[in-house]
Amino acid sequence: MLRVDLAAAAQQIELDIQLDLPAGRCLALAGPSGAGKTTLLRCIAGTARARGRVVCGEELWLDSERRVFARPEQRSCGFVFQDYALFPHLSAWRNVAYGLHELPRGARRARALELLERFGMTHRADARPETLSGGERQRVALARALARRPQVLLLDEPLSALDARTRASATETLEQVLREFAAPTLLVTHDFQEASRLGDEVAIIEHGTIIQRGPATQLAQAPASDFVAHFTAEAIASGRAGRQPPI
Amino acid sequence: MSAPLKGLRRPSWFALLLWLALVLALAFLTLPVLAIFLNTAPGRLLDGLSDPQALEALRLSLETSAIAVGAIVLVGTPAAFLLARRPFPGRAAVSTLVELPLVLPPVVAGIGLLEALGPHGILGGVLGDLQVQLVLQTAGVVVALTFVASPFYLRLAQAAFAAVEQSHLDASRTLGRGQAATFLRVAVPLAGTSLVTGVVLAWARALGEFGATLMFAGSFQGVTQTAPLAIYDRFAVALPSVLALSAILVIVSASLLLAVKLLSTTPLLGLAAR
Repeated sequence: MLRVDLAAAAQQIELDIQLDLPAGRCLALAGPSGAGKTTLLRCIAGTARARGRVVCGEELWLDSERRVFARPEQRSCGFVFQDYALFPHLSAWRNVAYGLHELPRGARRARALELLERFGMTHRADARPETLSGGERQRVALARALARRPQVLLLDEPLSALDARTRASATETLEQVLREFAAPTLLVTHDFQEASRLGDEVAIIEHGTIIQRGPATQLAQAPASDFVAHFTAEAIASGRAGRQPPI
Repeated sequence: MSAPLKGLRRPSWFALLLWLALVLALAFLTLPVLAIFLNTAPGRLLDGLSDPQALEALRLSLETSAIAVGAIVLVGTPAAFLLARRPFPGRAAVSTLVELPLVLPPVVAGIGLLEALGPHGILGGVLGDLQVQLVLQTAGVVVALTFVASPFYLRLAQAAFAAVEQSHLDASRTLGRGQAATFLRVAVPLAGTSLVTGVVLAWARALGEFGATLMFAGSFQGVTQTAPLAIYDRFAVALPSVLALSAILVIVSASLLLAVKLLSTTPLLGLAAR
């Protein structure tokens, strides 16, 4: 269970967010640019400072009142960045092995290859990120984020850097990961299709606060703001409002 | 169709002007360098190298500049990272201050070093108590070289660290690595090419240093007389060895310049790939 209660100015974006997320559930976050979606992920991961409280399972990651701030390396977050942020000076398998420094040196490569195999990327293990396609980069980034068996998975627009054709197969890969992943997941997206397909629920953030949260179909039927209406409208028009049954 | 093309066949006066300017600049800048080699037979250059004073000066130059560059990298790399990545009050002012030796006349730098670290300087008493003597000592040469060459490295290192993507540093932290490991394993390798370029430029500057070294450390053979100082010292009495020393400095400097050019066309060295 991830419990987040943030009320702070973090990097000029006012946040006022309370959310609980049970293990194994994926919450898709959508909202206009600059609404605070990425900032929220960064505050949970600890790469941005915020006032408030973040608890993951039994661990207290942030409690500004009690002056508790666990550093990013002390929090167990798998983070997939918007541009994937693969280290350009390391091969694919070394990118995955980067987070495995607690394993004995000899075991790291085997574990990294095992993860790459899960994503069908063994044949590209020695390739540098610059030579990988967008879809391949996404899979290496996912393998890297999952390598440390994180307690929370944070995905910042993991499909936005991909072209339409790659996006379909990458979405499938993500779907499979989310099915198997037993911890809470937050997924930032600009695409309602993606939100409804990958998220168990969708939350809309505007001006640093969650204005609506619920199953995708519920959002589509009763949008709480103009943004939600626009965000869901295209999907309704095309008759594909996601996997959630209508309530 | 030939009418509009006709004008293109003849180079315009402006193009000629550009070429003339380039030829003038090239001749002016390369002739003195070539003259060092052209005016002396190769045999005489080699003979000049057998002069023990010249060899000693060359050895001292290489040793002191290597130590200076080592110190610059050791202190300059983390300092440049801080300047590039952590906002703090007065950062712009600090950034400008550390570049000051770049525009300071070397002789003035030597005076400044004397007033700061000399026996009667600001820190002279402290250094005296610690039994550290710099003036007229080899250690003083290292100090002078470090002072004048530092900004060359700091400038490039700062720009290189500023260009490292924040998401790469954040990714390293979320993958369980602390700040120091992130600095060593991500920031330094990603800034690698520029850091090496900075090393090369700082080293070239240190090898050619004259004014600050002369003012602060003097010109004592075997102790503080680096190659440029030996060239000046022996100019009137032993021209062949002066020419030989000059030729070697040209070769070393040209190799360094070539190294920078090669590095700047290689985007990633993959320094930490292994």
